[in-house]
Amino acid sequence: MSAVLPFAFDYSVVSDHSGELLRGLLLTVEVAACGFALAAVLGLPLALAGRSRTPLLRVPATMWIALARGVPLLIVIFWLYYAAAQEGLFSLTAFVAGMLSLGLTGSGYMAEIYRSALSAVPTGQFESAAAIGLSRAQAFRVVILPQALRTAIPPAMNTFVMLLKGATLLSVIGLADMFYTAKLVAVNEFKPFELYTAAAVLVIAVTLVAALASGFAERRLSKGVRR
Amino acid sequence: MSATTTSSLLELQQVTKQFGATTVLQPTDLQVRRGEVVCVIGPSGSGKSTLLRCVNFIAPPSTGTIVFDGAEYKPPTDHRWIPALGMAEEKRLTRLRAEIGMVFQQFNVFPHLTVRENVALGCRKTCGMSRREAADRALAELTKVGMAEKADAYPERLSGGQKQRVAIARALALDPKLMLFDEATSALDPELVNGILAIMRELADEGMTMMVVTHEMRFAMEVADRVIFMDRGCIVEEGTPEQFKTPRHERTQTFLRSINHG
Repeated sequence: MSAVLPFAFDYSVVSDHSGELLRGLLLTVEVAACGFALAAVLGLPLALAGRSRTPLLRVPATMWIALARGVPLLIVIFWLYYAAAQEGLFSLTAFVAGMLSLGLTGSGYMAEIYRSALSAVPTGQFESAAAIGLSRAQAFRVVILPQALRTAIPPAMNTFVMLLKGATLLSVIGLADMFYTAKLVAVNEFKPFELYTAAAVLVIAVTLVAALASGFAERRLSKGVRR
Repeated sequence: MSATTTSSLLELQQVTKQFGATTVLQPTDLQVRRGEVVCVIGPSGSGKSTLLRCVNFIAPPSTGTIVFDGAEYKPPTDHRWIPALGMAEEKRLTRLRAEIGMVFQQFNVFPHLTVRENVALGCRKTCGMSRREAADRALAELTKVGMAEKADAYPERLSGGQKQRVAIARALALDPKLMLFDEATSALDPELVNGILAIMRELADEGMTMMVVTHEMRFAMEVADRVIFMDRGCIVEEGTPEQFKTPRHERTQTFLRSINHG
């Protein structure tokens, strides 16, 4: 490796601090997973409200989605962590503020994913569900949603990866996550190249695992509809 | 009305359907007696399917009244601002749909459920059967349409004809009082058509009340008690198959000539 690179890559500095880095990584994955779970839960009612006939639901949902997708994550983080506390609204720990920021931002993306997945289910499915006397709620639960979720998995996994990468921003509010640890070690040991590369590799590794899990979930849910 | 309710299962009174500014169904009156088989023919876009969809309110009529089994149904009010206000009305229509079976041109089987689950679903959710009862009922219905050995397969493994058999079993599992067939054989390969028609014929022989939108003139002529010809959203002509051998209206004559030589 050192023969290829025009500079020395000091593995020892990474391996010496691997324990801290992995602990940080765990925190990063935790906060991203919690944020994603929040986004996935909020996204569905948002998508349904956005498709509703009544403007009382549709307009607020559309505005929420536009805001969630439009406001930069970094601003949401600062707003929830610093601005809200300064105004005495509420004060949150870095973890909770991070989870909420990721969840709120993600909810807009998840809502859009659910919305397009729901419209991808052919109208004939609604009609035949109605024709066997299912109520709208039943038809949605047992016929429409299971088919829509299958379509939603790959783009939902993209959102998770996006949130995972977004989670590295949380080091700015002092969450001792993987990137925060990497930065700390990099400064102390004066080895920024090694540490930031290690940080990137760790995130990519998690991304790959997530992609595998998504493929597995997709196959499980695609029972009977392999394409 | 009292005289007709006893004999007629279904009655349409001045039923219309508009999509935006287009009127797809002009004011239509129609009565269907219990046990009667009514075949609806006509060129595409003539409102045949819309007529059928109005009957079970899958496409609710814009105006008019539908009387089914003695109960009146009107177009639901559009509660645009607070849809929850329409719940009671919607519930009543849901119960109506459970009493009317429908078979679609595109089958519309549920791809994420096995054949058995497709048929059992309605029994469980609509008739309140237990999982076990529903599964047994489903198997019985599947046996009747010759699909019992595919009970555990997913629809993707089935041919069009097999999917349509499943769809028919799914509708029959609810013991419907009326069956609607919306071009049930139009999407099938020619060699599969007869199998489906045979099932429909058997159903008619058993005394099922049926409304059948079809292009199969031979079937209509042999099975129907009454044939209805529709064009441009109107019922142009109706009569027995015998009467349709010498149609009175010019539009009917043109249509029948075109499909016989088409």
